[in-house]
Amino acid sequence: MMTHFFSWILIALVCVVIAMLVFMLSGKLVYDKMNSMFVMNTNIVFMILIFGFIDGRMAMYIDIALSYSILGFVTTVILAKYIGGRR
Amino acid sequence: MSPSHVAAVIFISAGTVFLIISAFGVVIFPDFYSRLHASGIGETLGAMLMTIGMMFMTGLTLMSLKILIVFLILLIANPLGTNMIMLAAVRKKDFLDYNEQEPADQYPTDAVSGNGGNVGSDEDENDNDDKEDDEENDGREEPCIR
Repeated sequence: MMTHFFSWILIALVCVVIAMLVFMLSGKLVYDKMNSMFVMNTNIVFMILIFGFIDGRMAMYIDIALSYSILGFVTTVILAKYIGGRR
Repeated sequence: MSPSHVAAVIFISAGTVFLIISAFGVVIFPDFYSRLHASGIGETLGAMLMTIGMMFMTGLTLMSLKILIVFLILLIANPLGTNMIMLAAVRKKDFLDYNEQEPADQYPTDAVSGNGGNVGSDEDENDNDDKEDDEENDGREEPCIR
């Protein structure tokens, strides 16, 4: 019963990620694309965790989600410093 | 169903609702800074609620401690990332006169020297690269406040 509930949550999060991907390809400013990538980072972290619930072996998926969140944050900071200018 | 499962279902549903609403706001809003604000605020709240729901689900083991670390990292990293994107956009485009000059620098103190005008001439050199972007986006990206 819990797995049935979590599958609906997973489908909703996949729809959000696809909507952000379409928005990234149709945005005009480069800052819009950076913003949509940042939104996708947080959603993918929760997709990994919820998938770990459905699969049963929760202990493996938490470490992957932890390292992905740190990786996404460092990527955003480096991209913002590169695109933003010299100051 | 044990009460911890009921609490987990409530928290995870609330977190998903906030994530969906903030992602919807990113698509709808007309201005770049409004979109950034919608994604930065809503995502942090949805992430916090969902991690608390997952901690109710797994009980009090080592796994809930790792989910607590994810909670702390997302609590600190989400507003920081939003701030970095905002600073990158403001320093390049100089939106809404954020990099305002002092009023005393705009008027010449000496009639002889006549060195009144723009003190920060570096901003003009940086803005010249984005002139094509500014002219293309003037129809769509008009500021809301003016």
